[in-house]
Amino acid sequence: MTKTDEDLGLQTLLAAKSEIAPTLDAELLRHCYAIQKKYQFSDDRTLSASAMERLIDTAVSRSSSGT
Amino acid sequence: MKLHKLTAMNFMPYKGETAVDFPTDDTRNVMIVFGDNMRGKTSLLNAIRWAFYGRAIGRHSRAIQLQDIVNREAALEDDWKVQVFVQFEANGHSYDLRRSATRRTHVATPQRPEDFSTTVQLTIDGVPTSGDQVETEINQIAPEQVSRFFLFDGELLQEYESLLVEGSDQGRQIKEAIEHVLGVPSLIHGRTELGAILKAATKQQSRDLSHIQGLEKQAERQQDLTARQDTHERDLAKLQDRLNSTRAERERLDDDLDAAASILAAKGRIDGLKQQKNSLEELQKRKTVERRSLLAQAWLDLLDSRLQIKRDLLQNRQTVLMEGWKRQGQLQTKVDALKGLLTTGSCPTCGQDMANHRRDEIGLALGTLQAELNSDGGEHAELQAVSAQLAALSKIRGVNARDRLAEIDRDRKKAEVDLQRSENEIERLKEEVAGHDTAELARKRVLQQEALKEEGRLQTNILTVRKEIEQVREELAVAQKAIEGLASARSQKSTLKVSIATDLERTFTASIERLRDKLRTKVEALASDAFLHMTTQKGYRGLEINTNYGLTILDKAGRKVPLRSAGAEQIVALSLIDGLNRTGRAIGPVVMDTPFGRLDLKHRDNILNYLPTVTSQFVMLVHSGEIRPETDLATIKSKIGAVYRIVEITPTHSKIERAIL
Amino acid sequence: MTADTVTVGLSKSANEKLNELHELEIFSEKMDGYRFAIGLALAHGVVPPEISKRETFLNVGSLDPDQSLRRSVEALMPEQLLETTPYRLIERLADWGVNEMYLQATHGDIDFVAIFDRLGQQAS
Repeated sequence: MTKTDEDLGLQTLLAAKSEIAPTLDAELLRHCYAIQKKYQFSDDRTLSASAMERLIDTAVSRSSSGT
Repeated sequence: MKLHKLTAMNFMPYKGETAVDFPTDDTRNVMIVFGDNMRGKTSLLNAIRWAFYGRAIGRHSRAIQLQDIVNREAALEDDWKVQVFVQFEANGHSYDLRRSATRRTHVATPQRPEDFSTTVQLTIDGVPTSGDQVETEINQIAPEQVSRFFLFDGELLQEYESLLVEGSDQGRQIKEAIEHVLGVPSLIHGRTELGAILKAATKQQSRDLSHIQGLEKQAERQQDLTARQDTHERDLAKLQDRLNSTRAERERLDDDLDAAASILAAKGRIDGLKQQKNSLEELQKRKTVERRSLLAQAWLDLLDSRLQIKRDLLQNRQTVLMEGWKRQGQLQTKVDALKGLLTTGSCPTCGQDMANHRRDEIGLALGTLQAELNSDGGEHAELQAVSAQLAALSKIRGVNARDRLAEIDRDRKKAEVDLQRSENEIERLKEEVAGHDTAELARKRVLQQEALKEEGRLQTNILTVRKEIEQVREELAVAQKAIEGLASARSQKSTLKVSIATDLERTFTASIERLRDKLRTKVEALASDAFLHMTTQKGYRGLEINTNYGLTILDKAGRKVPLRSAGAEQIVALSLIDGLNRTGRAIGPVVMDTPFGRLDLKHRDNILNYLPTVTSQFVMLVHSGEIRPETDLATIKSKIGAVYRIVEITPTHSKIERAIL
Repeated sequence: MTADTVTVGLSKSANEKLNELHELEIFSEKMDGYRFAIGLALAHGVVPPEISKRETFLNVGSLDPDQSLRRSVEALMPEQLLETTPYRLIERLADWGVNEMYLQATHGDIDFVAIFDRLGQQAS
């Protein structure tokens, strides 16, 4: 995909985030999107699903320990 | 991305080794390959497609199987090895892609794809890539789902019209392909996967909360909701499966019936011809009977001409005899008159007595006349005989046998010829139909209709279940908010996870439609731009895109232009493709097979001037009827970097050679 | 003059030929073929000889109900009738005609149109 498109998809996500989930960490969102981009054409979704879950778990741990 | 070199070995009509060098200059980036139909143009396209994706496509977008990809002549010579190598550059790296297939050792004559062993190798900047990564790498550069837009068969331009038809299969597939180009699947997959993560996290949360005093109710509620969600999602999955298999079944039936359409038509013709045959046979019988009846009377015609001579003679004799009889009558009258005179002895005019010499004169005359009268003897009898014979012979008349027989013979001959023709045609059609079961086909049609209905029903059900899932999600979200409001729950890790996953899922969900709209707008802008460059009409504002990626032309006032000529359709389709290409991927090569089909010269000029500017390489595969080298290419001569010609050696062997314009 | 015959027929060989032609189903009845043969002979103007091995199978009343054949023969061949009777003459004509038709029969049929055309040419 072109650089412009990465922006478009990501831009859309970030814009939606500020509206719908303002407290969500933008970096986390970027990472999730990156994973999806990487596995965009894979038929096997298990890798992307587990990668996303790991991201979230890390974010949860960081938040908890920070609290 | 730019193609550098393609080398093919025994690929379809290209027996032995064939090599093509692509023009790599930035401005001289047009390549033209001349080739008449059936010589190898589409095969060249397929060579690239097969090298990249391991697929070659034939008529009706059907896959060409490996055993049919190997050059026929080579196969006859027992050489079953087929290879295509492509060297190209992308994103600053150089790639060498090699795909090969050859007959498995234990197979004598390959008849199915499984009889081949295939390998694919990809080297990037000289470094080999591991086998399972090749597909991923290629998809990063030139994704297969998008390939229909840059490995482009001009014959398929008509497919794009199906985008305007809501719910058509073609339309659906193209729409999916377009959305892949536009990156929408990333968001869709994201939402799906986040949904699964969220659900699992929610269940975990329920379990955790159930252990906290005071939160049992919330936990229970959540468990209920997630249980409902599970049920619905299972239902959805089942429905989706059923839809997929019904659709696949229906598409198989579609294919069968399409292939069989001609068989059913042939069967109909056979029935019609059989009826015709019966009519002809009836006609023949009737004519034979007619002929026999006529022959029973034809003897009259045989007699007629000779009898006519006789009749003419008799007629003449009759005339003579009748004149004689008339004369007799006249004589008799005179005799009677003279006798009367002698008897009275006086002149009829003056009443005086007749002189003696006068009486002598009269007596003499009388005598002469009487002598004449008596000498006519027997002719009366003859007259009667002649008249009788004439009357009898006049009754014997011909029935125009000769002409009527000739007509019957003609009719019979024609019926015979027509009958033979019908029989030959029936035989021919029977051969065509042989081996096909027409009752079976009728059954398939019924099944097809039922499958279509089932598809419709399933789609409706799927929508219903999706709505229900949405509803449960809403309720879960509400419940989640309530839980987060409770201090005792807030600190739990599982609560946090659910919270984050929820946020992510909702963000992705909302973005899908927004991205679609943005991309659609972008495609619309690019396609409009392309359209304005390529159309010959100056009164247009541009193109407008609908939810199916169908495009409508807008006039200067912004009104939709409803009717389009075939040429205009093509330009619109090309505009869409260009718009998609530029939205969906980095600038790359576009290979087009017979792009000009129904277009006039002015349009062709416009296309030739425009497309090379928005692609890294523009490769045109044209047949000689489509383009006149001397004139049509004049405008882009300066952009042409390579010219080739496909030459037929035999019907199963072609060569590509360099050519000059 | 001797009394005329009341039954007519053909020579044995001609009768066999007429039977063959009849089997080809060209004519509905044998009598139709017999009459045509007579007409053919009269049209050609031939004077055929006596028949040998005579086989009779037709009644004169059936063959010539309105006496057209007799009158035709009387009109066209008066000289021959000095030596024989009409129906005996008719029989001889039929015999000639059957042989002639048999010669013309090829591929199971007779080209009647050609017969008429040839006669037409001869006349003109």
